Amino acid sequence: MLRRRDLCVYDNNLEKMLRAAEILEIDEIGSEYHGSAHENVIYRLNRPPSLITDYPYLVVSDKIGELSSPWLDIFVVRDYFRVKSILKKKVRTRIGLEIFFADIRQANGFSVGKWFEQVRDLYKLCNSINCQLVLSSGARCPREMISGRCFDSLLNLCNIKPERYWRELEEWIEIRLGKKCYVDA
Amino acid sequence: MLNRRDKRRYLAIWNGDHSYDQRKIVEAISKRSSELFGQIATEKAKIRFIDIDEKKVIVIISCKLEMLGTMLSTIVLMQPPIVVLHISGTLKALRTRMGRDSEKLFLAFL
Repeated sequence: MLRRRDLCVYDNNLEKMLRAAEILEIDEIGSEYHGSAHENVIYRLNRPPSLITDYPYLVVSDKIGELSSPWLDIFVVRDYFRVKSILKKKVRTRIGLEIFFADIRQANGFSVGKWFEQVRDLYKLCNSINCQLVLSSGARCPREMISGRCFDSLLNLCNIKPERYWRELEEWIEIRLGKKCYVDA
Repeated sequence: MLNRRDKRRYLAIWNGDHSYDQRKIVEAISKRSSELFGQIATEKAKIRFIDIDEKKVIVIISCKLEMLGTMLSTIVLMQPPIVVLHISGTLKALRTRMGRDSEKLFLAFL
């Protein structure tokens, strides 16, 4: 059975976000760490922790200068065309390249069309340089979250087969988390 | 005799902060859909307002099954944001599910 994941939601009230995720058929979410660990959450950190943690985490950055850092798990792509050539040259294999749907909610039809073309292009690039495309909601409250079925529709719109995407994301997360040193609570 | 009825899907949408007027929500979705997918796709979807719950936070709309993907994508790209809570082939099943999950829904979204 495929597990759907939204690796980026921002909210201090994580319990509320987890309840919303359950209703929306999202099995696991990614969020910032606020001092306590929850089940079905992968935490997003800016830097690798110096001590062993009791929670799973991924190190995330949107700074182009950190693209080649050995500790980086996810690079957030804000402006694809600006960073495309740098990505091809500098990106390390098997890292995640993340893009947020929240970025285009307010965009007009023309910009949304362009954005989806960028995602299709990014997906091709990910396949060619052996990286993982990560599509996240970037939600800042429960009503900005995206349900599992909606994610599947958006993936189809990006010419990505949902089953393949969720399976590849699962395998990629297993590999990334498998390399980390954390105590499974 | 051939069954000529369209296959439709019913969508329960959270509109808890009343970002959209209960009946104008279909108008707003149609407008965004036209902007993103064009007038032909929007007309083809035949979006309809069906109902709103007692507390006026969950709106039920319907659309043609063949255009469901387009509608779901449109709803994700709405501003102010709204969330698709459940989808069902029958109104009865959708209402049963909403009734069963109502407590969870309010805890999560209010």
